[in-house]
Amino acid sequence: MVHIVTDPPSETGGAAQQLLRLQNDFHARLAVETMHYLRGLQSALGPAAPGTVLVPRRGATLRATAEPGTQVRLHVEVANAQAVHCVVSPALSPLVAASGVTWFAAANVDPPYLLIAPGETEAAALDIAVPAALPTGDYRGVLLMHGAPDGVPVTIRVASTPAKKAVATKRPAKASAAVRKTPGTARKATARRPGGTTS
Amino acid sequence: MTAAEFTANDDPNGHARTTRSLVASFAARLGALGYVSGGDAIGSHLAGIGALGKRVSATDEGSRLRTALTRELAGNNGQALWQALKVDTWLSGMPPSAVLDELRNDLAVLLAEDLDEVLETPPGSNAVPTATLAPAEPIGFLDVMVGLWAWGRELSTAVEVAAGRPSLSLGVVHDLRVDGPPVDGPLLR
Repeated sequence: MVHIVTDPPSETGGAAQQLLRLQNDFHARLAVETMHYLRGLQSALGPAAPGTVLVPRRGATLRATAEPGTQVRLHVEVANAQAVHCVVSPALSPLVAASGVTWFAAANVDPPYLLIAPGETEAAALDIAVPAALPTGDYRGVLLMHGAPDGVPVTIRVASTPAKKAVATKRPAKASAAVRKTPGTARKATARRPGGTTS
Repeated sequence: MTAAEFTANDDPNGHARTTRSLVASFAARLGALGYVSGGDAIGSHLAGIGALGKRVSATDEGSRLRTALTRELAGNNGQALWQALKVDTWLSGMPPSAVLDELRNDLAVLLAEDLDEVLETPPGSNAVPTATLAPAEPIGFLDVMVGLWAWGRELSTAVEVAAGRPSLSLGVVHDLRVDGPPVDGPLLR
């Protein structure tokens, strides 16, 4: 690369260029801010979609205990106090232990899509297969639902001894669950869940 | 405790979900199309899809899908295209539509038993709710991909629900010789 050096700008020329650059910057910034303002105005004046808020009645925290290689089941029940149908589709976040293990639990939600008529109550079950190779510990995550921004805290205690609260049923763990040890590589996750929306 | 119970309520800071308010919201969405450009309408919708994708990425399935996309060529190419054409900058300035609420509200309108009564006396302008200003947030390619996935699943489920969950995988025979009109057409000649 060849650099061609010209005479340094005079004091007057430098000031003029700087003024021009400042003006250009100002106009560019003004255009961006104007667009942001107009789009904000468009949003503020645009139509809203009335939403649904899920208020917990019972069970502010979901807790379960299970052995590796078993299956644990959680329940969610929603009563529709609105004047029209509402939809709820629960989904579980990844579960994390204090030891640094992240458990991608691949919960099977049945049914995955709750359509609830006004005044009716519907329930869904979340079946979570606990991998046989999952290290013991308390795994914490959140049950997420649209309308419950903070979700419901979930704690699953994986213990090697027989669980006293026998919510778990003996079943071989599916190959669908993935466990990730931080740092390290994740095990294979292959199975899919039937249709539904995870929000 | 292995069970949690919830009540689905109206948003105390928003409008109640009634057939009338949902029809008003639908009408207002249609009406707004006359005042915004096609680019703004598409951008607002895509920004809403991206915002949904951000939320869904916090779920187990969403996070795994997002991670898988980053490992594939399609995911990397998409992000490169996104940045080269400054789509992320464009979408980040767009007011995101509440795409999931809108979809669920439209389904509720289709299932409403009092829709005929509401349509006889269309809601007035005071029934049209206005949006609150959504904070601007960066919308990336992966946000939109995950959002499209979630929204698409919800959309297909909603249409099936509206159709009464028919068993589409089962074969059906209609014998028009018995109860149908006379069969005629070029294929039968």
